[in-house]
Amino acid sequence: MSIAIKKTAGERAFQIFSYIIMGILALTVLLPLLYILQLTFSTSPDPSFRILPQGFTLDHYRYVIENDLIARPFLNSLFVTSCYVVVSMVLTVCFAYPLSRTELVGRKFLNFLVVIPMLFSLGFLPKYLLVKDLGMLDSFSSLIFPGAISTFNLIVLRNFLQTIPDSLIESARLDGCSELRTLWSIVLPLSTAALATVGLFYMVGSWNSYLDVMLYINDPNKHTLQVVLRTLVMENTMDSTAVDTQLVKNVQYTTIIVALIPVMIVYPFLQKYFVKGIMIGSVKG
Amino acid sequence: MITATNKTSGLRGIGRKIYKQRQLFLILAIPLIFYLVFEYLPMFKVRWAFTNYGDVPLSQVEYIGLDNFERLMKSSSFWNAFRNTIIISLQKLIIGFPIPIIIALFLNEITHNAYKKTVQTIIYFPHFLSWVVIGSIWFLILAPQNSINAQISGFLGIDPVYWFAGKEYIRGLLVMTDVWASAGYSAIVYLAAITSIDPALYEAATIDGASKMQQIWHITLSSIRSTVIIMLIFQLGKILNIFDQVLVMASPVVYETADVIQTYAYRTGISDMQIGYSMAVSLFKAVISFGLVLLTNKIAHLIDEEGVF
Repeated sequence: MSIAIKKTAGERAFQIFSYIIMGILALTVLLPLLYILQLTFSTSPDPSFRILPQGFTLDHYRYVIENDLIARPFLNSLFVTSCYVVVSMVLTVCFAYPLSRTELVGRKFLNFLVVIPMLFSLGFLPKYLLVKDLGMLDSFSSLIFPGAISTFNLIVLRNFLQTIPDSLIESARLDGCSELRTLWSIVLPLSTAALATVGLFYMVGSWNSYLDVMLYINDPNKHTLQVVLRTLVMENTMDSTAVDTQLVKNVQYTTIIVALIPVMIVYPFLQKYFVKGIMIGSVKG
Repeated sequence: MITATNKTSGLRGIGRKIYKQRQLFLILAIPLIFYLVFEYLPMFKVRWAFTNYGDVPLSQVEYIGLDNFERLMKSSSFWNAFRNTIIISLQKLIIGFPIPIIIALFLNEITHNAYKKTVQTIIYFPHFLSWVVIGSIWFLILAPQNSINAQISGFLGIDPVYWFAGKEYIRGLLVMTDVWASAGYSAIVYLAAITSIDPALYEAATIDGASKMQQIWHITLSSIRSTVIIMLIFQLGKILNIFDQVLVMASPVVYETADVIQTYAYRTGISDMQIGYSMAVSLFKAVISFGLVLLTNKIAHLIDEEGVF
């Protein structure tokens, strides 16, 4: 960039082409989302392609919020995700910090212990049987504890903590700080970006999870939004004579948007941190 | 100096070191126990793969050797799922792997910052959506009635196709939605690698009269090769593990072409409660998957070494 070099006609054309093709790409992602979004505000039942609503109403949202079939799973999801993020963060930080200290006895072995389950993945069945043995089926605890430590997030955080200079931690120790105190008042304030990344990954992961609920929860009162949404949209038999088709459609569209609102809220923060997170994560420790 | 004295006192030295680090170990204890319980304890359940658990109640369970694996080898449903898994994964790999690289190349050409940022913000958003949300959106758009699909079919004067219920279409849908959801996200990983290339390389190449295509091939692509290889290893490691997306998007009508190993294990293990047999399926998958990871890792090592020298 330091030397201005005149672009050839070919380069110019390539650049213009890039602008166009990236614009088209952005639209292929954006348009389906906008289409569903406008339907949730539309007063007209016309499903033809539009990105702005025909008329404007909040009735669909009101109906969904007042409907216990969706409001309850929404609150369940919110509760599970909140608990999960707290539990996961505490466990992951307490795991990652000792692993990041080079002087830790048995560090190599412990790191090996961490990676093995990721490489040799047995799938859902063994864990399901364990959760069943522990008597956790049909309780929210099954959605919080068994998956609380994600190997990937653990490695991301560990690799970040490794970049904190030893001298800093050493000097805190010389000042008489306990390990916990060092972690809390020296290490964590320096790691806000990594903590935010991992926290947001955990949050989105828990909010979006489907399989765990399918495996561990039978009680319909404890179902989460994702499971209910899937049943609502993809297993609805759509007997147009028996039910009000339009009402069902509106509820489907609106529930999709409700299910992605939390992700949309945290997306600006995610975006700010996660590129960094990927880069930290891809560095092998 | 400290390490020298520790070496001479051997075990006691290690004991003393651990004592000195007792606070670190205390912090580590709870998460470690957690990890061992939920990641390692399940591994002992693998023994059910060699029993008839599920065909008989727990009190009568016996070890039956490799019978479950024999049954699996003879099962046409299992091989169907195995074949589907490989086909879908390869389709995703062939179509889905190059696309993010191409996106990153185009994105790198865009010099208008606001435009670039907007495009990026939009294209990696779907990565954070659940398969249920993604599946639902496309399910409704492609529904045969009251949908854009119906609108377009009407316009073309043809009968609308019920894409999600067509066993000849479901694989394409799985691949398409996967690319839609994840291409943008993978693209930024490549873009991050591309931005770290020294611009002097391009300047020198331009002065030497290299064309744009030559620059892309010899500078851009060759500089991000190690990133490409790491991403490829990740993809290959996941080949047999496709699950959530299929569980969400494929209904029993399309099992013939969309049933994969994991959904097969789910059906036999959770729905039919044939624990022994389903565990054999899971173990079979885990072993092959592990071999695949080791193999690709080895190959990557060979390629990388060649690249270094």
